[in-house]
Parts: sequence; structure tokens; C-alpha cells
Amino acid sequence: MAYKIMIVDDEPANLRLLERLFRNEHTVVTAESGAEALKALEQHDVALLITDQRMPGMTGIELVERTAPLRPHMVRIILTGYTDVESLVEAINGGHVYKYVTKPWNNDDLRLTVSRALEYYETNRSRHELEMINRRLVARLAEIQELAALD
Amino acid sequence: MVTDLPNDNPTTARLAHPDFIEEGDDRILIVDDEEPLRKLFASCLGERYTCVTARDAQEALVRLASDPFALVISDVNMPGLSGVELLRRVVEHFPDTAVVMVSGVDRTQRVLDAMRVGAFDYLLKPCDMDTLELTVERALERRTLLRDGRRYKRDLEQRNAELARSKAELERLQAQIVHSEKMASLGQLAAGVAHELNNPAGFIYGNMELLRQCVAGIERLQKYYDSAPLPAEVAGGAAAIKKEIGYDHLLADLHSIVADCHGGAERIRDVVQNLRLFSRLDEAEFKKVDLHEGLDSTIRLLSQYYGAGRVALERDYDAALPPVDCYAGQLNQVWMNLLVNAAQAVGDAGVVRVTTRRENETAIVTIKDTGRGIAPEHLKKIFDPFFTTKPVGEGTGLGLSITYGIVERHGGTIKVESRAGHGTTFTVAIPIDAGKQSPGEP
Repeated sequence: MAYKIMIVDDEPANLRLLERLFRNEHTVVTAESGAEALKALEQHDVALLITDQRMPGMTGIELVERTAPLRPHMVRIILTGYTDVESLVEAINGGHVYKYVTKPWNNDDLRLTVSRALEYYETNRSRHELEMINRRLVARLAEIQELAALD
Repeated sequence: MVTDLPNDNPTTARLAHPDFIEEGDDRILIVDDEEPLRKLFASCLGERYTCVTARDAQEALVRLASDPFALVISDVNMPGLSGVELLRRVVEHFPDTAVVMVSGVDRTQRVLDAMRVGAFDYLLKPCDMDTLELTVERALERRTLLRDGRRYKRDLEQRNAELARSKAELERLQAQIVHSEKMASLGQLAAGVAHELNNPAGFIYGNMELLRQCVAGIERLQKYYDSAPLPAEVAGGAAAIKKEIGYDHLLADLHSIVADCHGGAERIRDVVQNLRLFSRLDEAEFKKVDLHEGLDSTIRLLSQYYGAGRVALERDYDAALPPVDCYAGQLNQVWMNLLVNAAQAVGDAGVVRVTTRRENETAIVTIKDTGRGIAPEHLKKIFDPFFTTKPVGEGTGLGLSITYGIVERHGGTIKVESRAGHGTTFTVAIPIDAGKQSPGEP
């Protein structure tokens, strides 16, 4: 299934490469900074966010934190060459980051990670949808029972 | 005070050894076979000094053996052991005791002999009491000066030795600091370079993969086009272009260009990775590290020594060795140091063997080479800063002293064994858990 993927990196060559990797299967939206990304997220319903960690202005982790209330179901991956993982582990354990991938990455490995992340997204989304439908059905059922009782 | 008995003062009665005579000691031993003379001297000097008398040299020696005296006033001419003989013995056995010889006017030769043997002064009989007092004063003063001189000399020598030690220690520490700072900035440089290179190295590598696929795609289309005959009006033009661009070789070239670039990108990526592992500046904390990773990345960085066809390297790693508490960057410097030394010792022929194993709570890493070895007289100096057996200009002689300092800082030990002509083995032991380390182990 095709999804919307957003890629954030201050290095344009990386953006282009990543776009090439995924544009055949999915719709790719790119941004060169956290601020740009947040703006774009208001308009696009993005399923998966892949962001670099070390960026001027806003770091990847900061961006991830800011998107949490905006797009609660979006899956977030941090791509980083930064080897000290203390703060990254914190972010993952905080529940907002699905995975972190080290730079340089292997194309095939990254593709696999992305498809798994999207499966995860799909599972959560459909479950959430089913919950919504369920609630509506329960409410509708209650309405019908009320009407039936009046007869 | 006149007394023929040994003084009962516990302080001065403690030991007869001259070195323990206290300052201000004012005991005088008067030796003369004539009793009137003994009494005369003693009464004259008794007011200011503690006087003890002896009848002859023999008795004098007994007294001297049991109590310390600042001064001996002795007759030259006595029955039994002569005055000069007494003087000789005093000079030899009681060097802190001054001696003044007393003699008759007609014995000047003896007096001269006595002075040569070591008497401080001499008195001629008969002598007046003023002269006696003055002579005694001078003798005691001279004695004090000499003794103080010796004491100062001893103190100075001690201080000098201490200073020399402190200086050596300071030099070692300074060398360490200088080297550490150099390494720190080198490490920072390496980390900075690695960081800057990481992105381009990464996307070049990633793009190469895609380029391969692109080229394969174009090739496929091209082969398909080539299989179909071209309309006459374009066939000529196509053939001309093909000739111009060297079409026959072009596709083959494309393949090898992409393959070479891909290979190069891979190597760049690996070197950058190694630089990061090696400098580990991002991880400049004390944490658990896999020593094998550090050893391997260091070995990879030393391809000029250990690359294909150069120094033979054997690795014998203990897979059960757990991660060790350490500063990864610093230990990597240790491995680098030892591995470079080993490679240089081995030269063209020989083997370097790296072994790791666990001994209870300690990780042991040995780096053994079959090179020319270290001479026994150098062995105890190799960890000294600036000590080197290399010719001037080659190496700083700091590597091993830094290594020593780093190992020490980790609570570990480093030992070296060597046989000239056979090889050298360095054994580094690091406690696995910093908290559990016991000093002096293994």
C-alpha cells in the first residue's frame, strides 16, 4: 500500500537520495529543517517521518517531540551519524521514536525498516479506526435499544 | 662540676655514637697522667663545662665508649698508649669529638704530628688558664661549625635527591599532559573530519547503488534499441555518434567506473567509520566497551603496517571476554602504540600476535612480536618519557610513557618481557569492573 513519507535533513543530497529510494512505492515529501517540516505536516497526513538528528535550529529529537501532539499516529524514525545514543535511547523509551538508523545506512536495510515501520503504522491505524467504528456502533445500538423500549 | 664518673644525664648517656650528640653538648674529657694537671684543668673549665677526667689513654677510651664528649684535652706524653695514638683513635672512632693536645715545649715534633693526624689545636705546658679557656672555646666552636657543615651537607644532598625525583615526576606528568592534549586535539580533528565526511561518504555510497540500477536499466533499453534495425535516415547519424563517443567501450566503461566508485565509496565509508570508532569523542566517557572492537578498528587504521602482504598478524580473541569499563579512546591509543612498536620491531620478517583472555575480574590483552627484542639494560627504562632507541627525529619517545599512564589511570598494569633477537611481549591487564578493582592485581 502507498503511504505518505516525510524526509527531513539539512543535507539536500541526502534528501534527494532518500526520495529516489522511496518515490516509486510511496509519496515522498521533503523538508530541509524542523520548522519547514512542521509547516508541511499541517497540510499533509504523513504516515512515516524520517529525520536527521543533527540539524541547525531544531534537532531531530526536538522535531519528533513537537510532532507527537500534531500527528499522534505517525511513525517516527531518526537517522543519525551521531554515535552517542544516550539521548536517542531516552527518546525511544519515551515512546515517540520507533527506531533510529545510523548513518551511513545500507539501502536495502533501510527499505526493510521502512516497510516494517509502515506495517506498524497500518496496524495501529486500522485498530484505531476499528475502535472508532466500534464506539459508533455501540452508541447506535444504545439509541436503537432506547427506541425499542419506548414501543 | 668535676666528676670522674660517667654523666647520668639520660639524653647524653643514650649512645656514644657521635652523630647523636645533641647541640650545645659541653662535655670535656681531660686526659693526663698527672693528677694535679687534671684537677687544674677541670677546675678551670668546670664552671662552664661538664668535665670528666682520665688517667691514661686506655681509661679515656673507656669513657669515650660509654658517653659522648665534645672535646678531649690530652697530654701527648703518657705511659701506655701515647697521646698521639689516642688522638688517632678518637679521630677514627669518634669523629664528632674534637681533640686538643697538650705537650711540653720540647716536643714540638710530636705536636706537628698531632696536628697532621687531626688535632684541632695544641697547648704548650705550662699554659695559663686564659689560653686554655680560649683554646677550648675555639675548639668547640670549630667542632660545632664542622658538625653543622656536615649536617647541612646531608640535608642538602637529601633535598637535592628529592628535587631530582620531583623534577623527574613533573617531567613525566608534563610529557603526559602535552601528549594528552595533542591526542585530544588530534582526536577532535579526527572526529570532526569523520563527522564532516560521514554525510557525503554516506550518500555517495547510497547513490552508487542506485546508479548501478540506473545504468542497468539504461543498458537494457539500449540493448533493445540496438537489436532493432534503425530507419535509413537515422542509421548513418547513429553510427557516426556511436563512433564519436566510443560506444563499444562505453558500456563496459560505465560498468567498471560504477564498480570502482562503488568500491571506493565503500572504503571511504569504512575508514570514516573506523575514525569515529577510534576517536570515540562522542563517547568520551567511562563506559563498558568491547575491547575486541577497539583492537580491530585500531588494526584497520594501521593498514600501512598490517595491510595485505605486510606484517603478519594473528588474532586470538577470547569470545567470552565481556565488555570492560574504560575510556575507549584512551585504550585505543594504547593498542595503537603497542601495535606500531610491534610492527616496527618485526620489520620484514616475523609475526605479531594479539591475544585476549579473561582472568577472573581482569581482562588481559597481550601483544607479542617476534622482532628484534629489547636489550635488558633498556627494559627498565622503556616507560620513561623521552626514552627511545630510535635515531634522532624518529618518534618522540613518549608513546610508552603515555601508554603506561593510561593503563595506570584505568587501575590496570602493563608488563613487558623481551629477549634480544627473539621478540617482545607486552601484557596489559585492565579490571573488567571499575568498582571491583583491587590495586596490585593481577
